[in-house]
Amino acid sequence: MSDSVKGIFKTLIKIPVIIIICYAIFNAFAFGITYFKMLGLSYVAMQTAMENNFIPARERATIEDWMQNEIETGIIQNVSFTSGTTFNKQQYGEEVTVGVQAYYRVIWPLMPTETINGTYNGVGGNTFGGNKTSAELQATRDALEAQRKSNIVIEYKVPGLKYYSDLDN
Amino acid sequence: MSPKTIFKILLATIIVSVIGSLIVEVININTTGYQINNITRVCVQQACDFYGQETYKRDINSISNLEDIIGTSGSVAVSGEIYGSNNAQQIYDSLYTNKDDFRFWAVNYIGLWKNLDYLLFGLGFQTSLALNPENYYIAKSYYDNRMTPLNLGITYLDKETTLKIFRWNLAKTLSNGQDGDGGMVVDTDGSRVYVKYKGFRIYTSEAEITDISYQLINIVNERDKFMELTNIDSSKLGINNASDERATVCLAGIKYSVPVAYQGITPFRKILEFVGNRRVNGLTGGNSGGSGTTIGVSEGELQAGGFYGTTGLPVPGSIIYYVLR
Repeated sequence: MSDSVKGIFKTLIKIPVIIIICYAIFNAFAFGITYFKMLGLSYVAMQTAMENNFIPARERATIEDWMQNEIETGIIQNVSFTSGTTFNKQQYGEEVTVGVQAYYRVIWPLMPTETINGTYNGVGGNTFGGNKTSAELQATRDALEAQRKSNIVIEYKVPGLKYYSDLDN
Repeated sequence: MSPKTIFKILLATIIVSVIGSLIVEVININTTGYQINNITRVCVQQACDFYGQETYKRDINSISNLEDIIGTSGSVAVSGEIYGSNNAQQIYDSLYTNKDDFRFWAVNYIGLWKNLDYLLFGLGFQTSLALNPENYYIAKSYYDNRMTPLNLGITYLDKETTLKIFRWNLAKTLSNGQDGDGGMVVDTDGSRVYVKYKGFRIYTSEAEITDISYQLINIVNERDKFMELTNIDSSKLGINNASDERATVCLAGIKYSVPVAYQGITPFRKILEFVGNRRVNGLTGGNSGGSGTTIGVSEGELQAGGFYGTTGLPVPGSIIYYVLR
């Protein structure tokens, strides 16, 4: 094989490798920034929980508004409180769980695309192929969204540091 | 693969490991340090609030004293006994009637607020009030109802009690509720108690409220100063007469300090410890080590320094606390 042909093949291999490395570096940075954003958010949530012994409705609305308008981007999705977060009042010193979670969407050149073809049942147990309707596509997207698990979860267990006389017994 | 290449790879591995560890440690110090700072501030603030809520006055004293925090030895590492008693009158007397700190504080404010004068009169102070039956009965009712300066909207914090609450808050928060055997509150490593928190050692039992200083501010004449210290616009408080005694507000400036040492979260620390604990024969001027001489670097000396030291560096902070009428 002549050197020029060799060179062409080398270049052909190098290009996707370089692209993948670039994407990997981009994702490392993007994930780092995302994580620190979530860390800051978790500190705010933790401090609120410590000061009130739970996340009061008003503070919850403010933080959730911040999550959706300031934190969520194309690559950070489903930012929310964790399911274990305490939203009901606790007494001084009692354990309060507070956490935030998000899904970091990895940006990759070969992203999977949704399949628009479906299989449909015909007469006599036969099946046939065809394009999905927009409603079917939306249902598929919703199902995928629901399955998507948060890959950034930051949760704390802290004591409530506020005394409520109405909870004293 | 030539020996040269092998050595190059070995060297590169060591350098990458060390630099990687250092980067992780620096990130950890920055993020966790910020967090510790915030937690400490909240703990002081909430300790002041808890003191101000005067839970000892409740008929049900379940909340007056807090639960003990158990150390790794299984014994009490941080006591939850805040007031030392469950009797409201005894606690009240220990805080106000028989307390020198309160007496030193109170004498500075005689004649400033009439309600405080009644209270001080009831507590046996000489005030500007006339010695007549009417004043006597008002003062007595203040004492009998266990009134305090806080009830009158005047900031006063008992330093000793607030400190106990602060230490408890700090240990409870940083230990994440994980106390007892195998927990994060360590009382089996030397004589000092500390909480392990993300590579830090926080000596919660040695946390101090170093100073509580009080400052009077007239919220009508000194609106800007009050705004600067409290972030409250006093023009919205409904007091516009500077000579109104409610216009004089007492602010407490609280300075606190927590000894903190760093022990790290990567194996980097273990390597340093390992190297630091090696004793090398043949060097002079060190500690005695049997027949030979040794270098003087020991774990104890490493610990005494700032790096994972038992001494710990004091991390200071301050807050402004106040109550308004």
